[in-house]
Amino acid sequence: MASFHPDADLLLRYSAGTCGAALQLAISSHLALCNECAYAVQRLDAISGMAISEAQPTLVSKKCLQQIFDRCKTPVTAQPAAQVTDTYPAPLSGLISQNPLKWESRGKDIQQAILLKEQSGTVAYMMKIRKGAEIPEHNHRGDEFVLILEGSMIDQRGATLRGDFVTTDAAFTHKPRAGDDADCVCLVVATGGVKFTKGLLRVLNVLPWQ
Amino acid sequence: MPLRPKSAPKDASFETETLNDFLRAAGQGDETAFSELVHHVAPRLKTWLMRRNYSDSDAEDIIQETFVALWQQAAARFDPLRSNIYTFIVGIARHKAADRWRMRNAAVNNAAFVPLDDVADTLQSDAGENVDALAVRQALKLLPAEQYQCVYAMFYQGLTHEQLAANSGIPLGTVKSRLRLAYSSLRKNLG
Repeated sequence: MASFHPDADLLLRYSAGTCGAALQLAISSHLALCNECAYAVQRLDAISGMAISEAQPTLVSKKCLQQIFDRCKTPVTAQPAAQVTDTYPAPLSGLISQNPLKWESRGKDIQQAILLKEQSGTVAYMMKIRKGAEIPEHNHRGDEFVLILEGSMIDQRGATLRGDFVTTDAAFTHKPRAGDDADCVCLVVATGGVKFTKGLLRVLNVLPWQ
Repeated sequence: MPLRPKSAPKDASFETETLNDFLRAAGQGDETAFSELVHHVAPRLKTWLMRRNYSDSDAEDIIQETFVALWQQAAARFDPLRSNIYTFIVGIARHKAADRWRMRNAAVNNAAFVPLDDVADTLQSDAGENVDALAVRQALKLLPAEQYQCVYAMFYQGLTHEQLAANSGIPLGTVKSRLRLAYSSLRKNLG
């Protein structure tokens, strides 16, 4: 049972279809692990559904309609089922099992693998932190959203576990640490890079994809 | 300022029920029912998508993928006690739209396009009973006008917070706080 959830604003944007691809991936992954938020989104989807039902129709081309009916007449060829792992919830597992993550080391304790990058600069990436390791003190150049998938992460807000969706705004300075029991694996969406606040690490102040 | 939520047109609930029946029949292989469903819903879904900045051709691609998934897999799982046709389709279309986005941006991301699951996570969860159209209208009517304006802009017009703030002159922080209040009210009144 998750203790940290997307806030009202994120759930509204997700349901309304205006949140962007990176957050869409992170929130849908959280929903697969959190019945409470899945329930909330289903309630909000009733509003989205009504918006569709009341929309003025826009002409759909005959070609599009014909393609729908042609494809529906073609027998379905069995697709290899996405390999669902214990770590990755459904929205991530298909992506990752067919398109293996390319982990890149960031120092001895941290690995990262990009998932997608929006034109706005917002990125979604996976991060793995060695158990017990600490990320040096930093704040952020934008908002950061972290979905914990394995292990735990601890900062002054407490310990976060699998399914927790943690939002951190730019002003917040922290020094998160992976729990001692297992490596921490998480999905991160960042609208800007991190900004290390101490010493030599300031040279690392840009994410590799930005 | 948008109009307040409309009263239900006289045949609206009948219409949604009929479409629900079509979807259930489509789940059992009824091609005629499926065709009726596509002709009624696809043009409305197209409007919804284009308001979210999908081009005409991307919107039609998303529509095509949504209805093919509906026919091949999802319709058989449709339960009118849990959902209605439109709520059901929102979940699928949202995932298909995300797939479309990734396909468009595959080169940028230097990663092969892989479609995600066809059916939205929320549809697979044990998410309780359907919220009917009347309950949604009531919940929207209970919102103060300034909160309704923000919800309408987001859900009906597909505007982001930033677009709404720019279009209306309402400060971004005010937009966000109105939406937070609206969310609390909607959660209370939608169950």
